[in-house]
This record gives sequence, C-alpha cells and structure tokens, in this order.
Amino acid sequence: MKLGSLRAVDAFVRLGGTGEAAQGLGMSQSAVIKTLRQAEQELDLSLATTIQGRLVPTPEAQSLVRQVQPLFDVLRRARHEADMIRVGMADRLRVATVPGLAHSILPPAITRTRRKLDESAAVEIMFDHVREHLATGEADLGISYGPMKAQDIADIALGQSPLICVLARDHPFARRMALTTGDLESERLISYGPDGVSASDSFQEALTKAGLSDRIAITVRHTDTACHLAREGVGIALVDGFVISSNLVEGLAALPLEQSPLVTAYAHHRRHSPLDRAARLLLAQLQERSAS
Amino acid sequence: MRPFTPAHAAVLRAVHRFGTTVEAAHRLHLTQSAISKIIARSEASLGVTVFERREGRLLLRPEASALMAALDSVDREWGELRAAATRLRAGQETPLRIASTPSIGHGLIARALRRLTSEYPRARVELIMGDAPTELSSGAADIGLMFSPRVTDDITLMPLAGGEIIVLVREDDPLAKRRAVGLHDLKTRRMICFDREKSPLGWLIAQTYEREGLEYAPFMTVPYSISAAHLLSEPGDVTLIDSLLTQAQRFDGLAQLSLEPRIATTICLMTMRSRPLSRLAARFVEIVSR
Repeated sequence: MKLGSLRAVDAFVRLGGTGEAAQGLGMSQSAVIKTLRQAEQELDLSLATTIQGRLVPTPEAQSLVRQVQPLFDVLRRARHEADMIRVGMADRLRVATVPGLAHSILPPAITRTRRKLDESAAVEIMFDHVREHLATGEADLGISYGPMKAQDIADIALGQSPLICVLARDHPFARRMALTTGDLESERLISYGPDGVSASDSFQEALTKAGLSDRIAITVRHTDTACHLAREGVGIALVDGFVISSNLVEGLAALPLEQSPLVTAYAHHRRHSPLDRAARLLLAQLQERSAS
Repeated sequence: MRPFTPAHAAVLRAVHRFGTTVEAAHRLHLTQSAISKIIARSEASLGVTVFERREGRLLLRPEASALMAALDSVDREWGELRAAATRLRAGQETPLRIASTPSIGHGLIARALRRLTSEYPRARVELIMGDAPTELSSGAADIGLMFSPRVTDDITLMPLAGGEIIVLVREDDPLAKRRAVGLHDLKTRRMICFDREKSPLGWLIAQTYEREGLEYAPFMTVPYSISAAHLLSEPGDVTLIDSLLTQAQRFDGLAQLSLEPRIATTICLMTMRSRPLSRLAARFVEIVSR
C-alpha cells in the first residue's frame, strides 16, 4: 500500500472520476488509471469499475477513502510540526478555541502572558474541534462554551456572563440601559449558530432559554463579524458579555439583555500531561480576567 | 518536494526509540545504509533536521518532540488503515445487503450465502425483508431477489430460477389425497393468498383466475408465502403459494398439491445500473447465477 496510490484513490473518489482526479492531482488521466490499477493490485481490492461507459468508485474505494482521512490528517500535522520547527515556533503555546471566545477573553490574556514571559512565548491559535485538538495533543489549552465531561480532560469554569445586545449608536434603542426579549421581537438578530461538534454549548443553551434561538436571522462564526454587521445597521448582534472587555464593541452600544440566562466560558486541558509554564500562566490570566 | 510517507515515519520513530541506525536497521530488517538514506530523505522532505549526532548516537532534537509525537500518530493511523484494508478484503467493512421475500431468502439465498460465507468467513450480511425494488432504489439494499417484479429503468433484471404456484391444504382435507387440483376445485374454498395489486404473484394468480372465468377473491391477503402457510389453520381453507417455500421448509400437518393450470414463476435478481457492486455483492451474484 503506497501513499501515492492512496492519494490517487482519494482524488478519484472525492472528485468523482478519473478525469477530475487527473486535473486535481496535476497528472494525466492515463497515469491516474494506471495508479488505480496498481492500487487494486497492492490492496487486492476492486476500486474502480465501469458503469455506463465511465469508471466509477466501488463501495470498497469509498470505504477506503473514508478510512484514509485520519492518516492524511496526521501526515499534515507532522508537516505542520516540521514547519513550526523551521520558523522557530517548536516550543509554542497552542490554544484551541471556539471563534466566539477567540477575540474577547483570549487576546488580553495572551498579551499579559507574553509580557510575563518577556514576550518570548510563541503562540498558535486554532479554531473549532477543541476536544479533538486537545485529545490528539495538538493543543495545550482549550477554550469553549461548555464542559467536555471527559475523563481525561479537565474542565475549568472561567466565568459567567449574560447575553449582550450590540447595536449601532444611531439605533433607536441605543440610549436604553437594557433590552428585553420583547424589544427584540421586530429586530433582525445576528448571532453564532451551533457549531455542530461541541457536546455542550452554554451560549446556544442561553439563546434557547431566552427563546431566541429560532429568531436568529443571520448566523456568524466570529464576534467581529457580528459587531461589524451591527455597526452597519444590519441588525442587533447577540453575543456574550465577555466581548465588553475587548475593543470589538468600540463605537457601538452594548446593552445587557434583561433576565438573560448566563453563558459560561470554560478552559480545558489534558489531565495527565502537565501544563508547561506558558500554559499555566495563560490559564491563570484567563481565570483572573474572567473573575474580574 | 519528495513526499513524506508513513514508511519514513516508521524509520524516524525506530531511530528515536533505539538511538542508532544499526539497531533501527536490525529491528526493521533493513540495511544501515537504507536507514541513513531514509533519515536524509525524510529530513529533506520535512525541511528540518530531526536528529543530532552525539557520541555515536542519534538523539532527537529537543524542538522535534512534538514532531515525533505526530509521527507516532502517523504510525498508528497507518496501522489502522492496513487493518481496515484487511477488513475490506474480508467483506467486513462493506456488508452485503439483500432485499427479498422469506421464501427466496430461506431457499435460494440461504444456499448461496452458505457458499459465500465459506469463502468469506468474516463477511457481514444483512437480509432485508421488504419490497426489493424500493429497498434497492433507496440505497438500503445492494441486491434484490423477487418473483417477477415491476421495476424502474435504473434497475437491471436477471432471471435466475423458475418455480410454480402450488396449493397447500390441511392433511385432513379431502383434497389432500389428490396429487393435483384445478382452480375450479377451489372456487368454494376460503382462500388465503396474495393481494393482486401489491404482489406480483398475486397479480399472476389473479390473471389465471380471470382466464379460467373465475373470480379471484381471497378472504385474507398476505404479503409472503410463509405468512399464508402459517395462517392456514381452519379446515377447508386453502392457500396458493410459491413452490420455493416448501422446498426450503417443512410444514407439518399441511399437504402440498400441484395446481392446474400451471402458473410458472420466475425469480429475478435485481441490481442498480448506476451503482457498482461491492466485492461481496459481485461474488454473491456469481454464486447465485450458477
């Protein structure tokens, strides 16, 4: 079983034909077909068959391609680690986070951590799949909206905040002290959609409890986008209160939602691999910042 | 850039573990020079030096520890993939899904599966009792077997075997003493049989009734022959079923008679034109076609 053959099978299945695979791999169609036939011999499996004059993947080829993806992922990771060594970032603090928290509580905590380390700490931030990044050892710390409740991962509650309504300064509600869910009834709402991977998400739970999850007209990944849309007058952004400590709401009105359910931010790390100094400092900063 | 492969990862891991090219070569059944070449190629491919030479030993550079952890994952996933390929060859990963009626399942399919599972002992098979064309079209089945089905253009039909409609009565029924009965002999009997609209066999039987100038009016309709055989409990009741069922299964207390006129049935194998067959499915078709 050769890696080159597996890449050809992957392109053939994912792109849907030998011509498409040839284009994707930058090789001739006949070379793709030859590689597929070699792969069939190596694996002793039929991978392509002719149906209505066209070579199409067999169920075995489709199954193989599904199962080869983790190998491609770890090969990419090995290359990434080599790249990090080359650019002098082998010894770096790796943080996996959900986009909603990436630009609110994280940046100031990282800034203070780096100061304490005389600006020497390199940092890599990765988005989404926080649990997987932690479990595979790709990240040292994780930040998300919910506990993972996994045996090998520690969940640390960082702090709680109500939902906050962010709106343009010229919005008729901008001078109010707070808004109610009733106030939002005729407004276009902007917020994060469920990420589809987190087992627990206190932000989405808060939206649901407030009766607003079905009312979101525009879903975004990043807080910045939500705030920009609010600034442009597209609607009212519903975000967590951690955003107030960042500069994302500058020039905008940020009003608490009355009787809002609380959103909890969590930090996570692997229980059985000790945190290095940079990760310990960042965790302390996150806890300190959220408490304040 | 030359590709970095799982084989390269295995060599780097062995050198890290055993500390020398000599020991790594010994463990991996390679020559020392092959190990040295692979290290050089791997480092060129990754663009970084992974080991430093100290007192005759190759030591992992401290900054390469995360890289080595990633190589451990490469090795683990490579092993997983090889195991998956073995399972694919054994038919464990792509189960054979066959949609049919019980009487075909108990006879023809059971015999073909005995042969298939002797060749593929770890094969996974799912037998679906339902409308085979529907199960095929929805993607729930790979192969369908059915009596004279009505199908869409995307389904290929291959006639496999013939049979006939037979009569079942209780052993204490006066008809049980005869070897054959005509449809006219049954016109006063309560009939358990197939629905003419829902079942191809029901349609065939109803057509024959009409040709004989008789009304096809079963008092109880059933989807499968096996249901009819099990429901035949009252004296005087009769059922018409396909002959395959009684070839595959005995029914104590029931007598089997030939029917006049003869109603021939054909078992057809169905596959989707636009969907390739898995290894197991293709082999099953070969076996069952013989």
